[in-house]
Amino acid sequence: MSTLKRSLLEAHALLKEKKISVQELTREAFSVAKLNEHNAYISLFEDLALAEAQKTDDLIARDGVKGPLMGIPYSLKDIFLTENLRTTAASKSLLNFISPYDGFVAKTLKEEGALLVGKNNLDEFAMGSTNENSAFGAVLNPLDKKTVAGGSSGGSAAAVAEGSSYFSIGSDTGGSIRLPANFCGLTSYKPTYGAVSRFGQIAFSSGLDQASPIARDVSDLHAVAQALLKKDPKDNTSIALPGGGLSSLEGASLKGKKIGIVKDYEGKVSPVVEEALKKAKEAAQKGGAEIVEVELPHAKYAVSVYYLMAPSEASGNLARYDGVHYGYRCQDAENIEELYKMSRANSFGPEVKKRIMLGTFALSVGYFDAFYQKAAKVRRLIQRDFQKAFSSCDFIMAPVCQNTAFEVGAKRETLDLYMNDLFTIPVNLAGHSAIAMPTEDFIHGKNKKATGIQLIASQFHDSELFKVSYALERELQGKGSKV
Amino acid sequence: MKITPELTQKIADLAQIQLTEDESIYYASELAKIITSFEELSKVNTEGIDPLINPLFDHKEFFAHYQGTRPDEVQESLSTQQVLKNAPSVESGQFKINSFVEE
Repeated sequence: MSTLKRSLLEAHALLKEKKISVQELTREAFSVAKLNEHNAYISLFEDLALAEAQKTDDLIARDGVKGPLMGIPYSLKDIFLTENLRTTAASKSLLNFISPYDGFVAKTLKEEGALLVGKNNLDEFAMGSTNENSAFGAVLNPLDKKTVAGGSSGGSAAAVAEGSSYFSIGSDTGGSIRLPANFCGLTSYKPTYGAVSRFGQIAFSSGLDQASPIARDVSDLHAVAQALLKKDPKDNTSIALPGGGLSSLEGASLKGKKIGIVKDYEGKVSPVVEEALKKAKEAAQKGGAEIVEVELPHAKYAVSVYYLMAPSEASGNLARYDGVHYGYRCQDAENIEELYKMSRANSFGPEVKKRIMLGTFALSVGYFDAFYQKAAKVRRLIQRDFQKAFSSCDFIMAPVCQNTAFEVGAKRETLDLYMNDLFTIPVNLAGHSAIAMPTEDFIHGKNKKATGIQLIASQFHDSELFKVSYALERELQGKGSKV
Repeated sequence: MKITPELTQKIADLAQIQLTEDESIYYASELAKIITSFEELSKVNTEGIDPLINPLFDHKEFFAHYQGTRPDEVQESLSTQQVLKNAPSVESGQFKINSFVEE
């Protein structure tokens, strides 16, 4: 395992002090990326990045370092469109797709001067929680190559953990950034739904998908998130957070904060995760937070609600892959319907087909009311549970996953896999924000396997979430929560 | 709920995905397991509850179209050449497929 030599903000400081050049940072990143130890990348853009690095060094020599992301090597989950570069969604259906334009995320980070190392591996179309459903093979966990990196943003997590990129933008539809961060010992942020534009993000479930950064710690995440949180006229569900974005982390404290622990989640996790949660709770108390008990009585239905609603939206979103306009085309078809059916059959993986069929079923005449509509109503009840919980606490602390990272290639039942998302999905269904971070025993090397927790804030309270997460992180690292 | 290979085949037809006979048996058993687990939702009382489709839809203040239409301004769009760049087959600036109409 290789680890990051330094954090994003430390690299930024070195650039400012002229102790390192952008070209050196970039070469360092590629020296790790090219080893390809964890299958974290689908595409690498070395020549392009080095040319950009040289230009950025010239700019810095002339005008200085503009912002914290300038000259920082980063990577993108391969569902974010990048102009004239390949975007595959880890699917055979888009094997050679070259986007004619930059999506919001790529464009914004380019404007900030960040340097794209490559595009990260993922579960095909972001559907999965192990990153084994990829046309490019499984991603391995840099902490232990025998275990999965988690999914669907597994390549993003592995890239940051192996030290080939300082941060990556993944996505979180039902936990897809928080789970890999949790398995790889990293920190991740799932913004309030709508806070980061989905323009140029290949769609899985439009009412749940949210671009989500992953990095080494809360401060690094904060620097990345600040660039991405803005309203974009190209996405109808894009919003500006109240106050315009994030406030500084200065003055962050746990003192007087009420943190809710979900009663309904008790006894649902493995002993090591239980222990991690207990220690995080104690750290929060040590920092001056008050722990209160809250209830989310409908959260236990979240997995069913999600696996009805997300596949329903996916069945519509993936209808565009028809073999006619772009992507894979089967050459043996004898009529137009066969062309559609064979192109799709030959290019989608089994999990994607399963979810398209699930969604088609849930939306079809005769089943719509009993399945899709029912799920949408229970989703409302989950949202109300959160509203009630947030009336008695400021934030909720919850586990990310029942277990730590599991073995690569082990046979798993579909329903068991779906249950991995039990604690992450409710956040997406209600549109809230969350930050997942590693916990004490892992940070201090007592556990080899990563453990972590997530802090959840109600919709639009992302700025407060960052502050309390920063204070908790410092407490967990033994630095004290006072900033 | 019973999901037969025949029903699975019908769903796959609607979704425009070709399945072999073996596949329709495999997906029938997979879908049956998942759809059966969804039946827990029938126990939840949802009388008088509005469905929630998108977590922002309750916050109409964010949506410009609730405050009127946006200015009718022509914006830059992709050229035909850019749009066709990824097409499997192109002719005369159009997407091309094989001729399927019998003479």
